[in-house]
This record gives sequence, C-alpha cells and structure tokens, in this order.
Amino acid sequence: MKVLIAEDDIISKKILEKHIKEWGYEVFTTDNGKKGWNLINKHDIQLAILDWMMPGMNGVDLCKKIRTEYQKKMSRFIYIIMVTGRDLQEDIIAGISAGANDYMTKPFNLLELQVRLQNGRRIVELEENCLRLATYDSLTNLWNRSKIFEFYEEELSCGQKQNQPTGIIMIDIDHFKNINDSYGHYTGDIVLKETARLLKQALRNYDKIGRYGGDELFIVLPKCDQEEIKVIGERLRSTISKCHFDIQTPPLKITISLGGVSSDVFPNASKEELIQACDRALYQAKKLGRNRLVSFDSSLPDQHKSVGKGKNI
Amino acid sequence: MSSKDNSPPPSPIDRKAVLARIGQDEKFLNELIEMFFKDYREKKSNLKTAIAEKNFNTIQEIGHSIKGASGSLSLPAIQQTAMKMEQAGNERDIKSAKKIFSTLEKEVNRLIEIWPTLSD
Repeated sequence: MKVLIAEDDIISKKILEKHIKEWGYEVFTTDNGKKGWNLINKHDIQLAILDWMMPGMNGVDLCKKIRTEYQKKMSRFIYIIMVTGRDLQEDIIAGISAGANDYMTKPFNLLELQVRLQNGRRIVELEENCLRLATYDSLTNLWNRSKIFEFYEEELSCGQKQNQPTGIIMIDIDHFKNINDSYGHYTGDIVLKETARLLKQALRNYDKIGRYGGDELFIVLPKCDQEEIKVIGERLRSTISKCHFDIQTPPLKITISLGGVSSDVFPNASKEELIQACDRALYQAKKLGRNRLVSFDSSLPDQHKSVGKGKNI
Repeated sequence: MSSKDNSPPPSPIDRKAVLARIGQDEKFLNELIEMFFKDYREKKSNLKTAIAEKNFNTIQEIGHSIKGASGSLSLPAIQQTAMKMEQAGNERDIKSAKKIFSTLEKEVNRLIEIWPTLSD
C-alpha cells in the first residue's frame, strides 16, 4: 500500500518514514503541500498523512483538493489522516469537514499510529473493492455501462468546450447468440472476455472502452474525428478477425461489426443523438454482412422508423 | 541563595519519552538529534536574516517548524522557546523575537554541549 507523508517537521517525517516503511508500506515523503499534490497524482497514493501547517499548501487545503479534484477525476479513494501539534476541537472539526478520515496529534505514539494505519488500510481495501464493483464489468474487466457513459458525457462536454471532436464506436460480436447456443455460455463468456482484452490492447491509452450490455461494447475516443474513427475502427476489426480463439477445435473465428461516429460530422448533437447515430451505423454494418465498420452519415437508413418490417438482426 | 538557585537545570531532553516513541532505538535517536542540529544551523541563519529584515511570516514559520521538531524529540525548553518565537512572528513583535532568539541559541547550545554525555 502506497503512503504519502506530507510533513514539514523533518524529525516527525523521519520517524514516520522509518516506522511506516518497517511496517511494510511503500512510502513517499515531502515537506510541502504542493509537492504532496504532485506525488499523489504521480504515484497512485492510497493513504495520506498530512500535516496541518505546511509551506506551499496547508494540509486542510490539500485534503479538500484530494476529495474534490482527485477523487472525481481518478475514481480512486485516498484515506487521509491529518496530523497537527495542536489538539484543538475546532481543528478536529475543520480537518474532518475538509474530508479527513482520521486525526492524530503530535508527538505520535507508535502503537497508536500503527493501528490507525491498519484501520486506514482496511478502509482503503473496502473502498477500492466497492469502487471496482461499481465501475467495472466483472466478466470483461472493462468499464461498466454507467461508468463508460459517465466518461462519454464528460468527454463530449469537454470536447465541445475545447472545440475538439469526440468519437464513439459501438461494437457487436457477430453471431454471438450462435456461439452461446452451439458451444455453451462458458465458451461465450471466454469469447467476450478475449475480444474485450484484444480491443482494449488495440486502443490508444487515453481511449475508454466499456460493456454496453450483452455482447455490445462501447468506446469513447477523445479528440477523434470521423476520419480517425475509420482508421481506429478498421484496426479493431482486423485485430479480431485475424485472431484465432483457441478454445475449441478447430479454433473459433470471431468477427465484429462496428458503428462509429464523431461529433465533427454531427455538430451540436446531444449525447443521445450521437448514440442514436452510432447505433444506426452499427445496424447498417450488420445489415451489409457484418465484419465491417460503418461510419455514420446522414443518408444511412434509420432502423427504428421501420420497426417490425425488417428481419431481426 | 534560594533552593531554586541550587537545583540543577532540568535536562534539555526527556530521553525516556522520546525513546518510548521511537521503539527504544538509541542509534536512531542519535541520528535524529544530529539531523536536528544540522537543520537548526540552517534555520538559525534564516531566522537571523528574517529578524534583521522584520520578515514576520518567516519568523513565525521557522518558529513553528523548530517547535514541531523539538516537540517530536521531547526537547521541552527548546520547544517552549520556539513556540514563543512563532508567537512573536504572529504578533509582529520584533523586540521579543530578538530576545527569544538569544534564548533559543542558549538552549540549543546547552543541548549541543550536553548531548555527547547523554548519548554515551
């Protein structure tokens, strides 16, 4: 577990560092609030011991910044212990109001510190588990539906503000129902997991991929115009089609259909309109014979206008 | 002469208290005290400049920092003096700051002199 000690008293810092390391934690130290903030962002800190008064940024302000900016952006929890030489009730109230989980006064009692850290570790593990369950899809280990849509909304809004296009791609595994029916759901799960893994690997590291539902996946591509959608979509399609899924003899050949759209061809579209456009492109990709990418253009037919007339694909 | 004058000055360090907090590790205590002396030398020069320039924020910050370090090492006389320095910075009281500076010097020098005998 990674622990940050932000403390400007060099003696306290040294005592804390020595013992916390001995107790098996990975320790990062600083004597300055601003540097503490940088370390948190750089090292995925899980537990922070913050001194009340520090140059750069005081512990209370750093605590507020972690709770507002960091946790929102990173979807990650940090357990915070505030420390101070002052044992005043108003300090305790201010510290906990700023988001601290625990509070200690200097000088420290080692045993007390040790059990408080153990308590912190337990809470961090529980929080991380809750966060994982709330944001990840347990089968594919991709973002779950609500989280990927949260990313999508944030990215679209951010792109609109910065006048940058945002791309989305929807993916369907071709004939997935047949795979389940012919080889069983266990095999179907492996196909889905492996497809998810391969797609994730083929994306840029700042793209986000999540499970939309069933065998449908949803990708958010920041700063991506319609031309790039075609390049990335084709890369994803060929990644899957070239791969042999060695879970059956003979190995299974899996293909995917993709629908893609970027906000640059659909200016001022709402998030719902963009998804509908993407859905139309995916529908068309399946209708044209699958194993292909169709990028949206306004001439594409709208399947929802002919519900009940066409065959179910 | 009063009985107060005859009693020896209290030890500048409460060794029992500090050792209890650092797991009875004498070697580590030596390391911490050396670290304190080194840090004090730097702070002393900055404090001197801050007093000469009437930079009350720095006087307060250095007072606070020495108070914290001396508290962690159970150095009660130094801690008390540093606390007064922090207060003088807060109250923008240059006359007191100068007076407290010489007391602080005296207390730290007393520890420097006595420490080799205590750490044997």
